[in-house]
Amino acid sequence: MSEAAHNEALDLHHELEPLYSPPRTRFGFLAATNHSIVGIRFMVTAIAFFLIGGVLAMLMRAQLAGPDTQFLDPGQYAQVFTMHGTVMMFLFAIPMIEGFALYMLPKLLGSRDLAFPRLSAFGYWCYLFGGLILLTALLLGVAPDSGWFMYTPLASKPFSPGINSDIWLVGITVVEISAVCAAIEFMVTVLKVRTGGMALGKMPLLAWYLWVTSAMMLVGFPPLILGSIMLEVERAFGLPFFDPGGGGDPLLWQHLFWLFGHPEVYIIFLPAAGVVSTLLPVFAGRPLVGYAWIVAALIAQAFLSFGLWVHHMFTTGIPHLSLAFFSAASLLVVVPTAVQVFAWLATLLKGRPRLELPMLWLYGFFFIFVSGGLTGVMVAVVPFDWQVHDTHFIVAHLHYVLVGGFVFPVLAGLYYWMPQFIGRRGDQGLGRLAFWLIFVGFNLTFMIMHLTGLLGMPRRVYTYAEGLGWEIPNLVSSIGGFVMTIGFALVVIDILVQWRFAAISPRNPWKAGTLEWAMPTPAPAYNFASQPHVTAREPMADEGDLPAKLATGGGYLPGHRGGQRDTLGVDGVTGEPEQVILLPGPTYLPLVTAATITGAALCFLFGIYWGAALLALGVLCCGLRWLWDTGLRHEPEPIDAGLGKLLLPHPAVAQSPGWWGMIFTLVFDATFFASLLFGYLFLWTIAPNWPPPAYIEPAPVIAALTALALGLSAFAAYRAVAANTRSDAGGTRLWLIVTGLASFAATAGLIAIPVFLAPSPTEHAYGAAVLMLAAYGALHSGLTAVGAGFVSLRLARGFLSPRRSLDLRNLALFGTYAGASGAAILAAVHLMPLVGSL
Amino acid sequence: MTAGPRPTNSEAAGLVAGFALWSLAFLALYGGHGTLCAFEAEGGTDARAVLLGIWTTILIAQAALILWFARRWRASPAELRFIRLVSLVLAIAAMAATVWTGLPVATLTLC
Repeated sequence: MSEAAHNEALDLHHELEPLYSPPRTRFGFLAATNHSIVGIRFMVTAIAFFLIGGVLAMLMRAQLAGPDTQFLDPGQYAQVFTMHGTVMMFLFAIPMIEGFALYMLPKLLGSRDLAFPRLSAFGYWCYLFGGLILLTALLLGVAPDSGWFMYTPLASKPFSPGINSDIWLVGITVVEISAVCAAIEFMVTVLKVRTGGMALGKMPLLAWYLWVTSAMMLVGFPPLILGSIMLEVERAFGLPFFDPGGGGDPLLWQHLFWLFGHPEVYIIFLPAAGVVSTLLPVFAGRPLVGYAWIVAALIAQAFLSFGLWVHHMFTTGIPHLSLAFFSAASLLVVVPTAVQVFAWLATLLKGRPRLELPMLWLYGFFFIFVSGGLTGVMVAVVPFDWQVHDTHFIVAHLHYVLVGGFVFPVLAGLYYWMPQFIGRRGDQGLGRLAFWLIFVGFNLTFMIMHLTGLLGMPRRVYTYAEGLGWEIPNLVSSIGGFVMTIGFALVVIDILVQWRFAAISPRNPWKAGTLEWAMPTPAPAYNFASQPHVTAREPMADEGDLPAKLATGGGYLPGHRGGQRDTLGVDGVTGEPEQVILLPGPTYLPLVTAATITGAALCFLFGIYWGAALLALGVLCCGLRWLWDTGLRHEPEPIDAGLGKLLLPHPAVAQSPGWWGMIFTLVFDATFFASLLFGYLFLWTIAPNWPPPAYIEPAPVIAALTALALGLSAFAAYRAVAANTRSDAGGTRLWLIVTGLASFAATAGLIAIPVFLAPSPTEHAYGAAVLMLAAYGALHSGLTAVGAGFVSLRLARGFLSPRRSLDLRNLALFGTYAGASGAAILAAVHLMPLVGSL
Repeated sequence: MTAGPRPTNSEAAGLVAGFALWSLAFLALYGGHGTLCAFEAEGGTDARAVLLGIWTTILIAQAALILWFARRWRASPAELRFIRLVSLVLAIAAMAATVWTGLPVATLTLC
């Protein structure tokens, strides 16, 4: 780079770095929304929880090292194994993926930030606060103790009367908010917030993996969130969803939990597989074999993984033919996994692999994950599963899959992207020693555990008697566990040593082709001084001088425009530049909103229900304040986006991130609703002690009026959109008022169901399920009414015009969803009793 | 100024079309099995005939989807060729998956 170009790059850096960084005030760091900062926070917090989960594992291994050990009593052991699973799954694995994707996605996609930076920051605070609830409970000795899957009736009030299970249900629900936020964030980001020219077929495979994972999170988490709410209200108010004596069914919990729980395995595995698909070609020295096949395989895998949940329930007495469906799907899911494994092997065979440290971790992944996959095929066969169900064989299998399929690729990625994170790259000696300790320690622990299980040792027992043949395998497992722990401690030491003492890393030290290496290391807050135009899957290999070109403003959106953070928005399929997305700056609002939600959750936990209701209103106020900052109050001019492109800012574009955000939010919402309807139908058809003592009072007039109000609300919202398109402000206002009033009337009609018409929700699961359905419908209609008032206010303040119509279009979408789901609720509540009583 | 957004986002729906039909088949067969067996026990409908009907109907729909996607892929402009190819591969894989997961309906004791 010439001196003039060097100075130009430096000038741009000095302009952009403060703009994209949090304010340099005492508490400015709490207002950070920059994706790199939030992503690193996520990852560091997740690693801290991993270490806590590891200590809990060591407590278990110390307890099980010999027979009749009294190191932990049964109650303590139950807390330890429950928290180990909970911490590793909910507080380490998922947040680690979120943090990694938050940090990496914009860099891979050639953009400056994610679609909704404030949402990411909000997600982080929810994760931290939810995790702290669980951690505090652990320190106070009241941690959850019913297993990480919270099976009913063990987790129900009669068998777990303490606060322990409530802490799990409330704390994990707060944590899950972050997962849902991340899913929506990543869905929109990959679809819209890429750099110019990056068509779907030119997108890095890791972005594909993270996109598919996000879609799975979007539809995987709602059943668990619903189940957690149902179990918590059963425990708090006595609504008998899972109590067979009251028409409930414990199996409903298992269905809801594993509808989440099995896809969760793939939610954890796919991003790790994405890391493998990214690193492997770099170290094999050639592009990955079968790009299109891998994309197809991972989409197939995402779908198939939702057809496996009953394989966790093979021993619950479900009819044999149903088991055959799930057994068939469980065997089938091996195929897309195998496609990926063979593509990786083919890449290695056709390339010249370099045995650098990240590659060593990948070899470890291959051995361990494939072993776990093979035992997975064994337990997919129903008769074998019956033999090993609830034994240590399953513990061994799931650790081979999860540690092999997640932890090893994560460590490979950690060493690979270390120069990105810290700007340094050091000696690999300590890392190699750590690898061998972890690899040997892991296999020592879990290989023999298959035998322990085959010898009949059940899971979750705090000790065992002498003479059963379990002493030696358990001792070997415990020794292996401690060896592995030493390895992990060495990894932590290695990171600290490299961070402090390693040599400055050259740019693109591994000679990789993806865009994250086109920026200086450690990555600047703004990522790219200008955004690239992509013409190949490996832009760095395609264009040698790309880093210098971008640093000197030779791409899209060089520098900044009036101190506004921005990034390019593209057509989802072709990658054609379409809009300039204006990004929000630092704000305390995500922190305040997350703190308010946590306050509401804590009030609920301690039975201060008026406080919970008050804070829930506070959350609504935060949300409205949040939305107020979006959009523009003036008609924008097209922006010169560089490389000959003149683009409108996103508030004036039809397919803006906010529009897609609403679409994906409704996908989440609809999955939640489908799970609720499934629960209602399941109880109706499968649960014992049905029919209920009484059905809802027939009220055809109220039902018809409610349905009419729902329809009118949606219709009026669309009329408001049409009036706005005609620049008819008066008409828009009028139709918004109709929307608000009709939604209000529909809310009243839905509230009338549990208050005046339905039998008591505490007497039978029927009444409880009707209450849940009505509450869901009323919440959505009520929010539509609030939304109509809010948009009216925005209209009056000049946020709307025929071009700037996002508020109205989103209100119409939400109102339509509220109307459709409300109609389904009315049918389920008012019509089903007619069928049931025939 | 550049033209407005092109309607290519709908192309992305092709990626999920095949396996959406597989999901439909899976849910219909799993959900239908329990319900129909309850009816059959009460002397109602022939469960196997109905389930085979559902299975076959969805397989026919998948075959039609494959033919449509194959024709669409052959006529693709360059910028849509990749996504249409992947959509076609997925539609074929989804049909094979529906055959495999639905086989118990044809071969095992139902109720």
